[in-house]
Amino acid sequence: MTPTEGFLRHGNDTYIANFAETEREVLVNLVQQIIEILAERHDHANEDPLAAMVGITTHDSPPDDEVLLRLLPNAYQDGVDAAEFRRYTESTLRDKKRAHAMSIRMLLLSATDGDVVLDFENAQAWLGGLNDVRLALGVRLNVDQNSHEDLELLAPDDPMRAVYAVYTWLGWLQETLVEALMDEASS
Amino acid sequence: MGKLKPQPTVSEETAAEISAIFSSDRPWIVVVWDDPINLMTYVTYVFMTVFGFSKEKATELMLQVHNEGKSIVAKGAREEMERYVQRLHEYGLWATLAREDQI
Repeated sequence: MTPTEGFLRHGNDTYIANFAETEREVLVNLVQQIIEILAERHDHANEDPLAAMVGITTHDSPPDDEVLLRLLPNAYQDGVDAAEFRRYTESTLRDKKRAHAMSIRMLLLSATDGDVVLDFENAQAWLGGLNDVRLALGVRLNVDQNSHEDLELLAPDDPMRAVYAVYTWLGWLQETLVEALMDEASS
Repeated sequence: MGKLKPQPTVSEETAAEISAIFSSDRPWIVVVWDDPINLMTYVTYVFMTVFGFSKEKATELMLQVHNEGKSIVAKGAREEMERYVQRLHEYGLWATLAREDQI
């Protein structure tokens, strides 16, 4: 298997991709950062243990940080409804996203010869987790304002150029996983 | 030519619409908004997975999001729509919910 194939489906429920050592390092580092940024929103354990137990968070205002706001968006355009929804659901959403990032990290760190083998459930975690990394990088790259052409033309010494290269690599990787999953969904 | 006598046909769907008009519980909708980061194939796949849509239907809605900036992808009771929005957020789609007449 060459490292340029991305994810391929093997049989009914197995998706395999091979990662070069540098690719593994980059991706492990990125999901680690997702885990850390999500942790910034973690509730203080001593605030209200009962509320924490039933999944109610003490946060009901949207995150100030743009990346966090994209990962944990408002569910309503109306601020009052959005705050209410956030209070009851944000911690669950954060836990899910953390679990997705952890799945990517764990499977990359335990990959033998760089082979990552996913079952259907892990594939879903990876899709969501890869997307979260792309969302974070996309926000930092201002993909809203900058066209792909602008980003292609970044100067070689611009640190954002490397970020954009990783962003496009992750998009390609995610696409191969979606296509492998779609094959199955349509057959 | 004389005017044709109006013939109201009341299908099951129409009946549901009529009762919705008089119900205080007007339906809620899930809106997915365009964003430049999510891949088109990914959005299609998420629609298929979360709503059980066919690939054709999911693709149609994805293209509507892409071309028109948004698409209404589900309509119904508030709690059910909230669960959909939660799942779409898990996948990183930009989704909100609203009263049907508020969008």
